[in-house]
Amino acid sequence: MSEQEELVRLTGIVKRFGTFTANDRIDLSVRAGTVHAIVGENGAGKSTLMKILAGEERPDEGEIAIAGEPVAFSSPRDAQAAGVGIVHQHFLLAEALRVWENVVLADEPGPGPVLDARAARDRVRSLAADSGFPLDVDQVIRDLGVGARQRVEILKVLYRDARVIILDEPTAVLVPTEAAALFAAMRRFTAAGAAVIFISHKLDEVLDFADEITVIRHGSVVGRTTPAETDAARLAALMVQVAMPAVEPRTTEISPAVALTVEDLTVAEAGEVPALDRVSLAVHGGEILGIAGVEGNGQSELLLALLGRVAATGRVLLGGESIDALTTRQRRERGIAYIPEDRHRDGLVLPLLLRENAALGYQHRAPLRRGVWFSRTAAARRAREIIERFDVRGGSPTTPAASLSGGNQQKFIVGRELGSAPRVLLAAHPTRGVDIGAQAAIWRELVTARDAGLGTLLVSADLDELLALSDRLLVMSRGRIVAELDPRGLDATELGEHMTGARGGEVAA
Amino acid sequence: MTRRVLVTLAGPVVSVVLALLVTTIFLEAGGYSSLSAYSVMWDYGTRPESLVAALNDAVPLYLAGVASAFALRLGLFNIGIDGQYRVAALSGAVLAANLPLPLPIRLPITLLFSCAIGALWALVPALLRIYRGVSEVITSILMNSIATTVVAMLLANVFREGTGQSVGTAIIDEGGRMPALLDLGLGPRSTISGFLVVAIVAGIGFYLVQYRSTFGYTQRVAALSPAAAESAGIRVDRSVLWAMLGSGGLAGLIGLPHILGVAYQYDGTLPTDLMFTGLAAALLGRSHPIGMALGALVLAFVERSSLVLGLVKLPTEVGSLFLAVILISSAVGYYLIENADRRLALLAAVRRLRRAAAGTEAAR
Amino acid sequence: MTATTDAAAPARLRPDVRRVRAAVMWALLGLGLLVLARYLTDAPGLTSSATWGSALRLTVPIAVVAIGGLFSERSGVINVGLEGMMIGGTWVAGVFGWLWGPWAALAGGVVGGLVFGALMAVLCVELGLNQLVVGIAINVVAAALARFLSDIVFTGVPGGSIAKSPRIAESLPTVSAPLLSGGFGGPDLLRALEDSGIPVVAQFGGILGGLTRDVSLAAIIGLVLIPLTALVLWRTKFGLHWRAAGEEPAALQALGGRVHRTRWIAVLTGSGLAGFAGGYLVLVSQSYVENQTAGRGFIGLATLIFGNWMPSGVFLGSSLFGFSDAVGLGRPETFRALLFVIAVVFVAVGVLRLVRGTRRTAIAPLVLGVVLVVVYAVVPLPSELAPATPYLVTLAVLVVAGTTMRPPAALGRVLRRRTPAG
Repeated sequence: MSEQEELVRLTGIVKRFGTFTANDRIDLSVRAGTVHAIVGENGAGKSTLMKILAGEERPDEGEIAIAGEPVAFSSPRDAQAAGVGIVHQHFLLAEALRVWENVVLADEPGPGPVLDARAARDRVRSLAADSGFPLDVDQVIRDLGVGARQRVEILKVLYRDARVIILDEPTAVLVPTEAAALFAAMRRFTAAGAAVIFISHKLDEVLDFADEITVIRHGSVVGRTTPAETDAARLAALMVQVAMPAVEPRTTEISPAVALTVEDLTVAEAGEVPALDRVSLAVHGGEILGIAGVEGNGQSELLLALLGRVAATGRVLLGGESIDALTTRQRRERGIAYIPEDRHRDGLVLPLLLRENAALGYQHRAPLRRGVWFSRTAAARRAREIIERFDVRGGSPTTPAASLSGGNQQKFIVGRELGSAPRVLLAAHPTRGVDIGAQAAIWRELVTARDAGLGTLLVSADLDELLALSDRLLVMSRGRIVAELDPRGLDATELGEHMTGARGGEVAA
Repeated sequence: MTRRVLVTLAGPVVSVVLALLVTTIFLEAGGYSSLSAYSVMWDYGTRPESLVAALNDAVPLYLAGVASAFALRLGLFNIGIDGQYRVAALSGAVLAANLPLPLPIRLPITLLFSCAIGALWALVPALLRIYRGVSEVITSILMNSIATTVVAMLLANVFREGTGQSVGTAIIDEGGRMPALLDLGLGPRSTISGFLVVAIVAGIGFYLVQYRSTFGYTQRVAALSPAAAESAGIRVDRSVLWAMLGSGGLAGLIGLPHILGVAYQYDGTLPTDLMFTGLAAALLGRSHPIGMALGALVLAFVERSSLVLGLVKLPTEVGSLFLAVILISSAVGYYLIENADRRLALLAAVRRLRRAAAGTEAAR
Repeated sequence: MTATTDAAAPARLRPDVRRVRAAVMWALLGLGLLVLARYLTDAPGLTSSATWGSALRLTVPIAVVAIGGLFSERSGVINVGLEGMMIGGTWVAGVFGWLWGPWAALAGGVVGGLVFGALMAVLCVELGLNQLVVGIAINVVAAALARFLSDIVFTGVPGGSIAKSPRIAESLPTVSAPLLSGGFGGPDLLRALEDSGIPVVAQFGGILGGLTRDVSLAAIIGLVLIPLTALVLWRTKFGLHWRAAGEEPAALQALGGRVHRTRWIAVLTGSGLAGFAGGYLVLVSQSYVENQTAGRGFIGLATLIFGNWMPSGVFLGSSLFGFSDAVGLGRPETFRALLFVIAVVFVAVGVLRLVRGTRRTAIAPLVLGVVLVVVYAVVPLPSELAPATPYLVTLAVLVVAGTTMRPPAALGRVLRRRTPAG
């Protein structure tokens, strides 16, 4: 098998969902021993294409050939048998089962119906070691962090002797150094003759780690290139019509008044390592305070504690007034607004109508509440205001929230929270999974609110977002604030090093 | 709009049809003529006295349905209604017999007292669920069994009146009985019980609370997305508590039509399967106040008319068989309708998407 | 030892020495407590062979039906229809037993349960209907059908009626432990010990004797099912698929496993077991009797949840239940003695928690323990309360043990059947 053997060939792939064409005559060729990146906006058709390659969807037209052999997959298992494995963005792991159980599931070693647990564990353990990340195979998934879980997903693919490994947005939850480790592992696989295909919209990553790049827009291939022949700007231009959002330098002042004060906030279970360890910070009016950090280092707990959803010790002052003893409802009434990181779970109730979602979090306030009654008309009016003011498309007050696209849902949530004239905004990953147009709109709104005096605590994994929007930047690691940085002049790599502790030092903030 | 009405009605209709079908199959398989069974049932059931009796029977069924639905709105199953209504019925019987107050005062107090007892009996599973995370299904089941023993014990030792064979509480005098609402004068048993008013009030109250109040809104949100509810300041554990208490309180009323309107004491004649029939009414009526009323009426009619079957050597179990099948067929019926509905909704959504895409294309 | 009882596989694949030693220690402690209580409260019934034999007989149907529930729920399908499946089992067992004898009765029980299991599988696994509703419906249907069919089949037959099937001619053979309990016509050592009246020895003889004398073969089969289930759950490929279906069916499906087939098998097996439990009840009463199940299907469900969906937990829970039931049926002072024992356990747990520093969780057991001691000492409990013993005991234990439960993560979740690639 030569290094340059063509391992994957997709020809004329067409996939339609009803009248919507997700893939429009796409050709793709990937050679063994290479890392191939597929880039494009959300909804461009990248995931669909990969699902077809992995056997999860069947194309309406077109052919697939693996190592020169034409194949037709009727299930993921067929694709696995042909040597194609995919690691999804949203992991499919059974939380209560162990690493080895998740990996060998449906392909267990053992005679007849008997499960040879020892053989299974040994095999998984050596596989992990060979791939460069030794793992305790007896650990229960529930106890693993995101990076470790991803490694389990990769093991699932390797265990089934995949020659073509597909990764869908693999670094969405990883920081630059972890991503580098992942790609180093991928390099090991390609050195052994495998082909790696990864989907991303992080252009610098693509330029650093891919051998070949295919750009997809609106279901068609619009460009094929290599990192040597292109740069981020050109790639972005190929991907979108709209330029990346740029933030104007600010013209308003930060208020000297402190909107939110946090002192020694700690979230801990008895006998366990604290999730939040004596965090102190202050957010001024008219300021955006960014919080950077690898996910799982306390950022979510920080916002949840401030919202009152999680028990914490310490002091929290809203505009000088203590709110420690207040419930979530009371804190919201005092002017705390919240953009949650998972809009489907915490921000909206998808089956409910937009007018009912407009009342979410504000149902106890006039005019939405009249005595004991819920005012439908006031709620509908509210929804209409949000839709118009924040350019939410695809819905009306009487359509369910589920009918909106991700970007519009997020705009609706942002509109709802900003529209209540809060004093403090807690924002978690406000543009995650949102298309460029909506992202630009949301950034604009956040800046407008900032200029009008709102104090915002911004948690994000999108380093560009943090650098673009923050006035000050705090870095969290292991539940503590470990650095306070000036975002001006900072670059993503430096920031990444702070986040993973490569640059030491704690800051008493 | 009309589609929504049709869809809402189609469910129960399909369920009833399915139930009829299955019951027919069983009857035929057993060697009985289903046609003659049905015609006998219909003749008997449509007589004025039977209709009045069915209406009166439908009242406790409706109350049981509303009680179930109150918890169902939060996605909870108050399977403890069984024990709650029996304990509450006993308490109501004892109070009504012993409270030396005139009717206009004694009656409402008895009703409220029974509600309170029902809610109290529901408090145990609710608290265990909130503070200990124990499934309310299992604790409710245990409470039902405990209720049986407690009621038997109290009846045998504490509240027993009369001697010998009859085991029952003291007979309630005129001042404690529910007055008749309307006497149709068609014979000895053609009085519509005043409890119909109670049922209507309960139904209206249910509608207002669940569909129009802020509390109802918080229940809807908590049922569909507990995480979103918490972020919105709604405390899900409080929601669970109120749902169970409300359900238990309503359950407290279920046994009273029989106690205060038929037997005038708590004895062995209180029907013991009201929870299941009530649940069937709730499912048939899709937890909607008017739908449940219709469901209760249908079920009561079937039960009533099946009473006559014994006289013509046909199995009276037809009634319970029908009820049993209704439970299953109401679920299946909704599945069939919902699938059709979902497919239509999906087509509509795709049509919208296509229009939107065409719009942005044109704008380019 | 871990505090949370996890649904995952035990870390050690062989029962390790530490665990066995701990189990033996707890057992001895428990026995010691019982002996102490028996003398302190003067309640010989607490450790008599009559009580323990009765406890064994009462435990079996609950344990088996609970295991039946475990099969279904571990694959992700909630089963509140166990009662109905049991009823179906009793009815068919009544028919088969009447026609073809006791072994046929057991087989008939399984058949009766399977019928409703198939119904549940079609409605819940194939159509994805609400599992709670289907379960309740099955309970109601089974009761109605049992009556309906009894009317057709049993009335008019000598010994039969709408509420009862004709008597089954023989019963299943029973065995006793050889040498120890008079098995195979040999000496009955344990009986001798029990009658000797020597402290500790007599109780030992009583307890073991009750557990090993005149044990029905059906009971043995039923009890063997528990370790068998554990074996399947942890040591077979099907067992892994079964657990995965209940935790994250999407993962199983993505890897090519057949979730729906696994759930079908699980639900059917579970219903067959529930029916078997019904058949056992029929053998005990020598015929089908209306309402024979008396809510045991529900209690089995409660036991399953109480046992945290583990076979070992189910065994403990159903034994607790069976023992409480036996005590409740026995003499009043035994009942009070049980109260005493439980009170002591609760107080001990409460003290332990205080010592360990988790003060909040110590309140419940301490309060309950003290209340029970007071009740035991002061209140003359009416005998009518006795049948409620097992329920009260289970409820009390739930209050104390409470939050360490972990149901299968995908319990109640429906997985859309995957059509071939999209």
